[in-house]
Amino acid sequence: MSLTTTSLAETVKKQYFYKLKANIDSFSSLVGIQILAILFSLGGISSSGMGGSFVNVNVKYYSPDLVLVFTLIWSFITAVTITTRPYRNHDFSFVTSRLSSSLSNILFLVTASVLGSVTALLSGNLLQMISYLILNEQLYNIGSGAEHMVLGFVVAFLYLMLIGACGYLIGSLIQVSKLFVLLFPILFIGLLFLEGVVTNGFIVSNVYKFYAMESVLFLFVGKTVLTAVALFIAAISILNRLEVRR
Amino acid sequence: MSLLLIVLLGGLIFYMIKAGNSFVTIKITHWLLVVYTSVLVLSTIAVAVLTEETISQAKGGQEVHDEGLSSLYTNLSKGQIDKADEYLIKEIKFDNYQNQTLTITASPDYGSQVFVEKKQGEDSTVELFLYGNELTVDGYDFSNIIKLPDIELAGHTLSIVPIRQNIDLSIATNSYPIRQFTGEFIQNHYFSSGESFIYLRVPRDLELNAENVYLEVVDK
Repeated sequence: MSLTTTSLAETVKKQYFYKLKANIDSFSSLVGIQILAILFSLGGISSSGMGGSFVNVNVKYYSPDLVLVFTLIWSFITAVTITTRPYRNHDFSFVTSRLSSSLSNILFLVTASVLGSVTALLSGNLLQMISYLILNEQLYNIGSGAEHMVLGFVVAFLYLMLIGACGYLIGSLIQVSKLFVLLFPILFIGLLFLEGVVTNGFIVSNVYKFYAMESVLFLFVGKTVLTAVALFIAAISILNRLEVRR
Repeated sequence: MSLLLIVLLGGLIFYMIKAGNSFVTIKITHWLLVVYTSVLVLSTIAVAVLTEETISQAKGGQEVHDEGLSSLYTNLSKGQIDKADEYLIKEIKFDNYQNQTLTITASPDYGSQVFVEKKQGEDSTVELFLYGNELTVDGYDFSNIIKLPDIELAGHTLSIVPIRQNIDLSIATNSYPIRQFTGEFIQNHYFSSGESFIYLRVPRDLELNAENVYLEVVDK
């Protein structure tokens, strides 16, 4: 019996810093995946043109959209990974509870999302520099100013948190039963097929519209934050039901 | 504001490394992160310095440009060039033109309209006005990169030699998280370009010939 008592906040803090160190390699993969996305984006994310008798115009558009998509995938995989048993066993280095473990995991995902969103959006500048210096292209920047950059970071962060929360819940469910490893891909691919059959879209397109087509910032923040919180609470509840250590 | 974010990012990484350092020594991943973020930060600074000047946003969308072109044509065909100042690109005067005829020639596929106004008074000057619709892409004005046709008067021949141009533009746009709230589209691009008109004021007794141009005499 230990006479030492530690507060939940203290435990979470210790576990959070430990997880930053233990999961540092996930940030290496973030760098790798973003560099890969930058390479894929070098051809431009879209192009258009116009032709006349004497003037032909070809326009190539650059944007860090693909980098953000790759970062979202990274966020999802990272969130699933930290729910796996080897990662959960790290927690037993400390006096721990399921709640403190989950809270430190969420804090880790918040940090990962901050880093992911900032680097993803700044990678657009690296993309521009490569096209300007290496590809020798005449580059025009029609991007907005600093105020929109802040908006971009906030929105990208919320997307990453939302996807991270989805990954964390799915990872938690997989810990309950390995059947979910099969069930989720089947469900996802099945839904994609249904999207092609149903005229007005099914779940995937409606979910996409619900978040990605929302043009009112206040509503978007509300939707993403509430969904992420709900998903995290569901994941915490599921992980609390797991045995202490198997 | 960007600098503030960069400083915050640098601080976050520094703090993470410092925090991680209390558990273990710095490993290569930390350096990878530091180098990558440094490159991103340097790129952000370099973009501000090296990219082209911010291009101006032209007025209105596709419809506005189409309407502008239509009204330009109408005004020129009525000889109301004072209403077409907005589209005036170039003005050339050939003083003391003494020939009895003037042949206006252009490349076979130029196909541009030439409006001719015969002066009322005694004036031997041939005045040429080049009007044109600017090059805009998605409402942004790129007119400054369009090369104007070479216009020369040699003897009794006024030749219009348009310059063939292949323009390759690279445009850096906002990322989706910004476009979602600013309403910009990455698809459905629109262009307006290339239409140019020549308006001539010539002595009233001058005989005009046209080669490969559509000549329209303005009846004022």
